[in-house]
Amino acid sequence: MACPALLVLVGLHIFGRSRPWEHEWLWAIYQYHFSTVLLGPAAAGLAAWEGFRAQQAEDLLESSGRAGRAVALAWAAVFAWVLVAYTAGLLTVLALVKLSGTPGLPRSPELLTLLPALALLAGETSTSFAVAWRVRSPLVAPAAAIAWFLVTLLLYVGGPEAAIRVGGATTSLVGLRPRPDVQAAQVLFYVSLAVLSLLSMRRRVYAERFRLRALRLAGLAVPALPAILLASLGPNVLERVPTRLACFGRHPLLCAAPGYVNRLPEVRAVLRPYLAALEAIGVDTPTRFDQSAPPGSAAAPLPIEIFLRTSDHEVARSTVLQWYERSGCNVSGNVRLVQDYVGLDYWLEAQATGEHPDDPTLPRALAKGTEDQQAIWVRRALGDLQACAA
Amino acid sequence: MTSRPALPSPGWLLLWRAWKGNRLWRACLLATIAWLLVPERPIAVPGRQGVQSVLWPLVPTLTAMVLPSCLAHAYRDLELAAAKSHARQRGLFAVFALALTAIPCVSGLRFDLGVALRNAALLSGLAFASTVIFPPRVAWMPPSFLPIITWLLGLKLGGVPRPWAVLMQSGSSLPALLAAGTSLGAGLVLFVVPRVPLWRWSRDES
Repeated sequence: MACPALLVLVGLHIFGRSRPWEHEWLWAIYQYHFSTVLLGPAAAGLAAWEGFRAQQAEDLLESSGRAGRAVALAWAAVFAWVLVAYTAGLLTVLALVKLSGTPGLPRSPELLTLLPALALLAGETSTSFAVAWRVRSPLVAPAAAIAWFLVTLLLYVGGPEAAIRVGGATTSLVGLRPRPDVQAAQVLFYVSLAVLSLLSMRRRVYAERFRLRALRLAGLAVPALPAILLASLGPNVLERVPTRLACFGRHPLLCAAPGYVNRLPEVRAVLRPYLAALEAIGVDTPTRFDQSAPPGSAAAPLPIEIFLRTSDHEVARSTVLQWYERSGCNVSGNVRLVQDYVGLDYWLEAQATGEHPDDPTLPRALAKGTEDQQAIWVRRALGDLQACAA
Repeated sequence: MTSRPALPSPGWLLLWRAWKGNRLWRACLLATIAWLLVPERPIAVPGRQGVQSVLWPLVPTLTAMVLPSCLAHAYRDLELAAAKSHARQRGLFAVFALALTAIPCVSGLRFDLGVALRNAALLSGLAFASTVIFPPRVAWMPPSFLPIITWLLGLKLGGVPRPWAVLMQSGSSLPALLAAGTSLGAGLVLFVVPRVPLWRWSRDES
């Protein structure tokens, strides 16, 4: 029953949420690792149950003379079921990405993200197994699950996030990758936690190998050191990297990750009327739209929404306007800029559709003005946006 | 000459002890503390941009998750063979268990007592049913994971609950009330009516 229960949770994670990640290998795999938020507590509870059962047979195990091995194997059996469920979910995700037409296959940077996720699951199961061995109550199974869920929540909300975040991205990862130093520290932390938990169950082994109190403390320091390292690495678990993109068209040139290439003609068709309207009144427009463009670069960024909701013209207009406020100007904190932004959005829509709906909140120049007056207003508003950016 | 104080029937005390009633009592204390400590403000749901929600509707989980480990004792061979009136004993234990599940909700008065009692009933019913349907190894999972899944997946932008996320619905939600009633009713019937637990048909687990 344990494996089907884990499979249900993995299935809920994959099919119970929207799947915008289907066109990127890294995003798909990294987002899949977020299933540890559900799977981790469940695996911890199941491991705790097995720990409780193994503890009930402690005398029998001790009499066999190979208690350490038996206990380790009991934990390994639970972890094996977790691995089966996790692998089944991962294969489903990979199949979904491939079926959506994404070219190529996942490579080592994508597959390396598996290590922290699996190490986290190993850490969660082994600590719960060890606690159940000492507590000697079946209640430790649900208690371990709830406790690990609360710890996960606490680390996500209060930090350090790097101590728990082995996956999960709410937007595209084009131009980004998980930081290798954070991944290494995570693996080190979770694996040392797992090993120490399993060793702590064998008190006799402990007593023989770590007679001195100082050595015991040194044993505790094994997971403490990478934990300190994780806390000191900062809140960012992702870093920017140069990414190979495929490009399409001229003026503007559109560049996106290989999985989105077949959508670029459609995206260009949506953007073109707005760019043409701006060019017609003599305003500079972006010559290149780039999915991996960092803030402040000469190219205009292509947000993931424009691929997911191509028919949503509001997204297209905001993609164009974003270029003029590209260095991170806080538009929402400035009432005048918000009014300008709304006016620009209205003007772009009116130019593309030819319709001029009556809106009393609009500036007079846009609502009642001539074409020249409107052009002057638009140039002034865009200038203000750029000035804010500067 | 003073008369000796009347003692409760040792039969019920034995039953309480054999069915691990003290676990419920401790869980009841833990839930009471949790009701007093749980934050009022919404918390950001991990992995969901712009989604925040409160945690307090999920506090009854702390008592419901304990129920399967107590109720499973009803299916020990000794219990099944020795009990004279098994259905009556189960029924009485179920009433005690439900009372202990409901008591901590009172300390959650600063939130919404109706929602707290409704969720306690829903999760307890689920715990009763899962004790009969699933083996002890996984019987604790439905009452423990329904709240977690609801919180992680059952909320839309702005923290608005999806229709199936009954635990997060407001106190005036009739479907949520019906779901709680159905869960409790079905769970009690499954548990109180004497039968061989469903999981014993496939594999006997302790």
